[in-house]
Amino acid sequence: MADATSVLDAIPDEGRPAVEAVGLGKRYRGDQWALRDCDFTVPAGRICGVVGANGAGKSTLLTLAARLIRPTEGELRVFGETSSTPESRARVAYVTQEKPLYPSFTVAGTLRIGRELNPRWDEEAAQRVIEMGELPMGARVGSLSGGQRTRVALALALGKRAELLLLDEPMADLDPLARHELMGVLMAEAAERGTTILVSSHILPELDGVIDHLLLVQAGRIRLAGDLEEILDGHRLLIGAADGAELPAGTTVERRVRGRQVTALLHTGEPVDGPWESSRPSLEELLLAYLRTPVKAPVTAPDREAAA
Amino acid sequence: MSASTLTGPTAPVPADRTAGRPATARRSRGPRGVLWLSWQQSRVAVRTMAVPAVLTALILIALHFLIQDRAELMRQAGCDFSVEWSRECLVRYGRLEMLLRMFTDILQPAITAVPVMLGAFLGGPLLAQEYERGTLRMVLAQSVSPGRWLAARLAVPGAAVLLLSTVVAGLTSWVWWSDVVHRRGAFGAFDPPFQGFTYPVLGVVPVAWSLFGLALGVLVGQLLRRTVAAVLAGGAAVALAHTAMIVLRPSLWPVTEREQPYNNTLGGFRQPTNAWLVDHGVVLADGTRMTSGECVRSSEVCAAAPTSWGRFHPVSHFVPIQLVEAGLLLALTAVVVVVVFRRLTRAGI
Repeated sequence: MADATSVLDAIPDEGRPAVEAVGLGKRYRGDQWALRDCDFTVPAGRICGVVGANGAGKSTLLTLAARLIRPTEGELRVFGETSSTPESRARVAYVTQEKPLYPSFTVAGTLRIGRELNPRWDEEAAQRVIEMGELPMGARVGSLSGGQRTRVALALALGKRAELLLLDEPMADLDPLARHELMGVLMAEAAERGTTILVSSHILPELDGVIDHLLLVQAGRIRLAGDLEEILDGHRLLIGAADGAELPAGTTVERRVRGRQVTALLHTGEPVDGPWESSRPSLEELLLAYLRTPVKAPVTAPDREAAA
Repeated sequence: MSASTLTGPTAPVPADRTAGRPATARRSRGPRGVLWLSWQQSRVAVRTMAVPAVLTALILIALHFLIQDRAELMRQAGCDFSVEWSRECLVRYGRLEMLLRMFTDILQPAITAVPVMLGAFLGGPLLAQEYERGTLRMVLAQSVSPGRWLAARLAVPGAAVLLLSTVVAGLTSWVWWSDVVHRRGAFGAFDPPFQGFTYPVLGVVPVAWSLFGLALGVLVGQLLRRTVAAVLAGGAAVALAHTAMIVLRPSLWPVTEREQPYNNTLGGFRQPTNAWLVDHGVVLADGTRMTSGECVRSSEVCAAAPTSWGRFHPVSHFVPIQLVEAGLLLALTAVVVVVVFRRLTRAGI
């Protein structure tokens, strides 16, 4: 009974920001900025893909949201809070890229860590994830394969019953079947409880059809941020002859010439005229175009608009 | 029993839907929360410490009774220092001395090394391994605050070290006082308290050193974040601190200074029984003082001196020096622990 109401309470109002960055910057020792001038908002209940090349700052962003490191400048609000409080710790779950677990603990012992250290622990949810992988509860974590350890780490995060789930490359060492199955579990969790999920990945097909919000991180800056449909609607993929007309107005994200054919991704909301075969890009086409063109200059104005 | 395990005061979740599961109910005795985790992680280390500590305690108790027994045999045979010893007395004394040597030559150096071992093998890896494996991030991603987690993580091994070192130090002090110090060896007192391996196993100092060694090892491990390096550097740091304390120790309490007529045939300054001679030399006829070091270079001048001087700690300074040293170490331990806490909770990981 008490559980039922607490679950209802936990479903956040749609649209209330779950994560909000204002002028966020993080510099590690030395003067290397891992993140700089980041402004974005992820509304509650969204499944947000955090995409970028290796070293772009994805992990730094998730680690900041998990409150394991502090921003050097600006702030990162999680459910409105700028720093962690005893209550906020229970609301955020985090799975790091390396999925660190105590190797001498058994699977059951690892789940018990979750039970002992989290007030809202859901043993059934955690055990379901373990049982789906047919992992023996008595097996030592150190004896498990990488994919099996990932499953245990995800079980630990799901059992926490958090409102914000931060997943750093969660599926990297899972086989396609387990990846599909665990994505399903995560989606069910998000749909059922309104959990906000920030998931970083460079396996782009893994995100397609899953995320409904996008953060594109490039060289420590936010290049694109916003609702996925709006972002896709705001871009046109053009295919035409290489010696054809000039590209129409709008910001060219990428222009590639292959033989006599040119392919270009345009950041524009307007329909395109001219000798172009124009289409709305797929998520993968959009991301690849951005990832292939590194930012040299500071983030351009139209990109910032996407964040607003 | 089952009711108390379900509604125990330490149970963090009032509406724990898992409490009804048999697997949970069966396992909910013992420490809870972060203390449970800390105990799981410290279990092996605590056992590894407890086995040699208990063994040492048993050996000390056995030594006490064996020494008492053999001393009684000597007394019955009339072997005391006032008479010329018969061959039988010498044999019996040899048997007694073997036990005393076991205490002074084996147990004392071993116990003196304990704080270094604690710094290396218990303190060093404690946080270094969590940083190195990344498990610190996993555990701090749970709902517990970093401060509470660290407090529990340090409390369990800290309490074990406090308990075991207190037991061992109590027993060494007891055996030393009741069986060793009052015996006489070939050169007077058998085992003066200020000696290098005697002082660190008596009284409160071994307990303070053990706690400080653990804390210093933890700090070194937190700074290095690598297990193997932390083991080596943790042990080295404690050994270095111990060396520094040996240099500092004479100044922990005001030293006593005396002059006495100088008798060249008997050597330099003769300190009272069990005292610690810090520094000595001679006073020349014109009143100039020379240290023993200066006398090595000009031995004829010193040989003619009428008076010798000595600065020493009489045996009555033993307890005050121990208390000052232990106080200093406990204060340093507190400082080290505060630094470790701040580094974890403020700097981020």
